[in-house]
Amino acid sequence: MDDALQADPSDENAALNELKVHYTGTATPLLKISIVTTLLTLITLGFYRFWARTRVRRYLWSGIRPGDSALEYNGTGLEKFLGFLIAVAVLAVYLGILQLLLSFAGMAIWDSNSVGLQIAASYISFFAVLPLIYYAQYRGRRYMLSRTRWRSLRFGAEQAAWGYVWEAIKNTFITIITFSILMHRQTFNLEKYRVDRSWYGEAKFKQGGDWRMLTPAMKHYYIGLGICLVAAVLFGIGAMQDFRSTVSGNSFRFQSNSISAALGMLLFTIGYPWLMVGLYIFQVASWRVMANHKTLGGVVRFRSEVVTSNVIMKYIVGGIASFFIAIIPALIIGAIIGYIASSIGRVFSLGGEQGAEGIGVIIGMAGGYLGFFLAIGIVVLVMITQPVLRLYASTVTIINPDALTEITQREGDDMIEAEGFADALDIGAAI
Amino acid sequence: MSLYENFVGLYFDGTSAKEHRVEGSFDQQLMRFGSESLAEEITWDVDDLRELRDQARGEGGIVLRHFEGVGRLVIDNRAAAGVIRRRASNLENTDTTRRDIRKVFYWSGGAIASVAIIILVIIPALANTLANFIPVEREVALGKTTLRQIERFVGGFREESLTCSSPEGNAALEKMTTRLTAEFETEYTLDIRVFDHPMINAFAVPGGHIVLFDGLLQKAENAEEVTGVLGHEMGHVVHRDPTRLTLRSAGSVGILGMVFGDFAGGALALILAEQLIAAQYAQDAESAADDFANEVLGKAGLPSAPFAGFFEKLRDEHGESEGLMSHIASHPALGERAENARAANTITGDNFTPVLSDSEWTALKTICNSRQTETVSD
Repeated sequence: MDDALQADPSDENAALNELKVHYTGTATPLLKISIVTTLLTLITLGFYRFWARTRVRRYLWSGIRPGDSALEYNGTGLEKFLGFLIAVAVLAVYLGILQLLLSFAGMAIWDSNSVGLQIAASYISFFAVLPLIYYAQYRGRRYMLSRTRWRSLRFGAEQAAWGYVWEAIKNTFITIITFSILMHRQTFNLEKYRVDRSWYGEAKFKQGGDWRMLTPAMKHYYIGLGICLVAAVLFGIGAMQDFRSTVSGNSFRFQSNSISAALGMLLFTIGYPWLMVGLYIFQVASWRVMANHKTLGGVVRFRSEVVTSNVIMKYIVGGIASFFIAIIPALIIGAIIGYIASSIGRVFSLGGEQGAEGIGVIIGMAGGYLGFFLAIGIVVLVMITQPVLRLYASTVTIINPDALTEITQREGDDMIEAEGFADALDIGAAI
Repeated sequence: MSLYENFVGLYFDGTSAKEHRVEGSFDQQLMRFGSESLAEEITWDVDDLRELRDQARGEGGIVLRHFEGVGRLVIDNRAAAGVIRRRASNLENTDTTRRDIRKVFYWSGGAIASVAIIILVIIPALANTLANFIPVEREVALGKTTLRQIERFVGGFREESLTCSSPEGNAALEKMTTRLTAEFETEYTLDIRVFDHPMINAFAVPGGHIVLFDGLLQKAENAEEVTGVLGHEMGHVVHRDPTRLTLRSAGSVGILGMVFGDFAGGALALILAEQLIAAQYAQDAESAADDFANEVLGKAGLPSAPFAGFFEKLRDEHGESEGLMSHIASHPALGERAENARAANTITGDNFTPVLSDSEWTALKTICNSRQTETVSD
């Protein structure tokens, strides 16, 4: 069902033209951009980040080429900075008071025995910012689309952020009360909400199909979830019988129950990674199925042939490689800074010989952490973000592209606050 | 006659998604191009050309736009792109207008004002009020956890306890404490201890826990100096300073984190900014604690001159932090604190009952000795 377009090569489809999407970005230029902008961000104490993100996006966007012409990102660093200032002016009061009240609640109910109360406090804080997060996500996406062009025509999204917040909260609630069994319903509904309000020039996108078509994509997530549930039950049984056997003093029972608990633990170590990988599998597979059911202006269609295992392997291999590559500059920077710090400490005899070394070790660790943080951002961009983007983009085919030539330009979308809210809340603005 | 260069390219007109295969030429000042699909030939001044930067075009070439228009011209020819880059002088202009700059200026003011009001006015006021609503037993539990963390940190992450104890030393500390606590009311049960560490310092954490470092005991010449410091820390406890400051910093760290972003450079700025703000509050709290100490010393029939002398000794040995550093320092200037203590002094000469006898003072000073010999013998 999800591969209807491939499974049904009817005469009508065969007669239509197709336009392949290519990805032309390479590692070296992106690495150069990333290193330069990261260093500038560091020496400006973080304020260059708006311009840094702009430059990275320009490069990634221009690598995506449906046919011969590349996408263009024409957002600016200045407008992002302005949007951020606006968001800060608005959010400072809300977030400051919220943080303070939460830490008050945390202190007022501070008790190592009442883990439940602390969990409750963290849930309250989560739900207090959740509407804002969804709001910022929609606005951020609208900004991104309004600054994206292809063949000189703008993309765009309608102003519907509060409607999105409501839709998202309803769906999140259902996902939570069904223990994430209906997660794909949320994924589909929110994607449909966004896509049905997205435009290319004066042509409207539409998300076809319904959420049930994503059920097969949930297979591995369900398996992982099932194993975790069984593990939890076994563990619970073990704990309960342990309790009973302690009361009755039955040593034979005690032994068998420990086995049940151990089995639960073992199953959990299998089930949890399965669940996490299952989540990634779902992300790729659902993206593919939903792409195959999108239309533009009612006539242009899309086909994605992205291979799930390729994307997963990129994440796993890229993730491991990134870690080991980023740790090298971290160790070097940490060692150099630590050595300098302890030398200075010794010269000024701060806290004696041992004290100077201690200070050196602490400052060196801080420097190493900083170095790792900087390096991992660069390496992940080049070794994961771009390669994964390539896998997604280069497996898309546009069906009936001739109809595109009839599409005309749409009005620009000023959006003075740009993606300031997403930026201030630190969500979804990584690239 | 100027030199003409010819090129072929793709032009997107900004009104439709049509692709125009254009042919054109340019000289020193003008670029012209056209095609059958375009109604008329297009002429751009080379000074009005802007290049799309950071493009993933491995094969070279250039993407151009007119600075006012939405049309895009793609020339996939390395040689032509090279000539254009040499001739067009404004390719990298961002065309930022005065209006844009003014907007950024106004909103910067707005953002700074908003953050300043919340950090300097609203959060401190709220923190001071809310601190009174936290139950004492919660504060005590919180303080115990904080104390353990500090102990681990100061002790270089070894698991052993840093608290010193000897029967005579404890008794002396108890006597010193009682002399002061007789003079004021507090809902906290004070827990006063000595850490075996050479630092010349003392601190209070939420819930009435007070720690004196052994370094401070060694630095002091008499028990009255230590009593002054103890009175100061009791002032913090009575004023609930540790709790108020914890609440306040929770609020402002959240906001500053938003301003500087979750980035390594930002983390550094965050620490500095938080330190600067914390220092201003802390200085007020310290002065108030000094006043409390001076008052209680007077009530207990003790002079505050030794307390002043202790500050002067520190100043003479370590110097005053001045200029920029004085804003970052969490305590007011030592000279100022000494002057205040002297001004509050009500007792002259030796006209008072000493806090401790000579033997008790020696016992307090050597409270950490038994512990040190223990560690050495291990």
